[in-house]
Amino acid sequence: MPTVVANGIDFHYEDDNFTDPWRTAETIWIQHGVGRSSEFWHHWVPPLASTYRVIRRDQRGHGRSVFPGKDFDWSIDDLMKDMVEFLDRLGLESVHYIGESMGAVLGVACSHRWPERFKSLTLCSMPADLRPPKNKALTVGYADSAQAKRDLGVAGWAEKMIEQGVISRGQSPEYLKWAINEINQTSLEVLVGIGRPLYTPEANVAEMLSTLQVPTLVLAPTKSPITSLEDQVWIRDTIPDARIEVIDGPTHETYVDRPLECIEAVKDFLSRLPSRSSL
Amino acid sequence: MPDVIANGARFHYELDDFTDPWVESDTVWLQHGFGRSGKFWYQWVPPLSGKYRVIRRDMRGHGLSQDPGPGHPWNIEELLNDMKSFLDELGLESIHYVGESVGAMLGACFAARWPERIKSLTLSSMAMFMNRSDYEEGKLAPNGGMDWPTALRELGVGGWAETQMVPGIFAGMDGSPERKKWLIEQWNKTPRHVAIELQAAVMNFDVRPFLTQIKVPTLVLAPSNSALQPLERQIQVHRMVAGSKIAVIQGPGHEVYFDSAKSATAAHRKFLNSI
Repeated sequence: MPTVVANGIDFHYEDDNFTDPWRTAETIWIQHGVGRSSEFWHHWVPPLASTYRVIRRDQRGHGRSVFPGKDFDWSIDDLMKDMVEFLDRLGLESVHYIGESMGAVLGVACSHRWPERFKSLTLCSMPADLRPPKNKALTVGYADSAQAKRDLGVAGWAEKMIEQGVISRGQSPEYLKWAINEINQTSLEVLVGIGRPLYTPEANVAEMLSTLQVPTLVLAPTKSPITSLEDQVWIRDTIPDARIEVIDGPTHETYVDRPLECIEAVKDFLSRLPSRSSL
Repeated sequence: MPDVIANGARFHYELDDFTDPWVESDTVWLQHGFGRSGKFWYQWVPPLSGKYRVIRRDMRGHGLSQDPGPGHPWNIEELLNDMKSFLDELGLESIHYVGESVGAMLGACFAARWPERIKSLTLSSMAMFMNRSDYEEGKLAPNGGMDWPTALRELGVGGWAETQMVPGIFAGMDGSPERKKWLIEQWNKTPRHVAIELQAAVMNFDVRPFLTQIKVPTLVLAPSNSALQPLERQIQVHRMVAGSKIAVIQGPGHEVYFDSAKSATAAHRKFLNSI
């Protein structure tokens, strides 16, 4: 429901908290990936919101967050600035961050630059390397993924991503219909725009992993067409003291396919963190 | 956040819904009792809201609902019409109802009168009638050594509630001081005149004639150790509602929906799954 202005635009976010009201609970920030929205994570709230305040932010131009205009110059730097200002505006000193796919990439970049703002990091299906040919499930025969999006349109691109196993078709035809409709709310300019920075040097988070200072959980998909289990193990091995949980699902979107396993892994990870916060 | 005008008054309610948007989900209505508010049910939202739309309504004069002002002619009939009108205004054909204390008594009457609006009925720590000697004169309820209306007047609603925070009675008797403080603060949000005048109205409330008329699936959530409602009384309720189920919830006192939310919600979920 609420919105907050950060880095010049209105961000929509959901804020759910069913913890004991006489205590200040820690906050979990869930950040969705490209083309999706906070709605895709509604089912994660009940299992977490008795213990944590759960915030789900709609990415710039996604969900109900404001369209930044077709001339917006998408950059990792700006997307990161969005995030740290979001934390500032909400008065959140530090959070447990759960990022999916591109949300995970941004999580690494932000916790690398501002480690004091992140109590923990959960990387759900983070692609380690999107250089050709590792990104062929995204380019689907076109010169690059931007071309693919422009030619196919948002709905067409979503269908292709479902075919490739990058986007999940879920457990029912009703889910699929809903998911495609939700993704269709994203404008083509945003879909093309947000993908571009992934191929810039700033998005090469691989270089940041070895110096990450935030406790990290790697949720590794087994059948993602854009990131292999070997890549996920490499991510875990590169981040100091990171933990890995393998989530065996049919697609890249394990948080949709295997939510209970993912949430179980996250809860266990969070419960074992050394408690540094006060009540 | 939202408000609705029903039966001539403004009612505040919270709606928490984390159900899958591509399926039609049932609604659960959680109704607090005397002097409390929807906030007291916060522990019930996560266990239910993945599968049900969860509504917590603030009763007339309570929480953030409109205060009718001192001298309002409080009566059970009006409270029942408030509930019917609330459902009508929200366009809710029928719902799963969970009530505690007076909220349960109202739920029982409502279900007897309008069964088509109630998919299931859960009565948590319900009294069949409020015996003057037990409650008003303080045989079971301490009231700080005064009678109930005097205690409300002299101590305020929070002050009176604090006298009840003893073993067998209200939540807040154990646990942290911060928990007790929060509870007293919540009780204190109820205007004194609302509590005093509603108390007078419920002293004549007897739901026994309605219990045998209830035809909807019913669960009795019976507190194991309530000084106000011993287990025998809860078993009587169970006997009077044909086909009802009973679950004993272990807890230190009367308010098991709050003190033992985990087991209470588990019993409730089990019941809903069995319908």
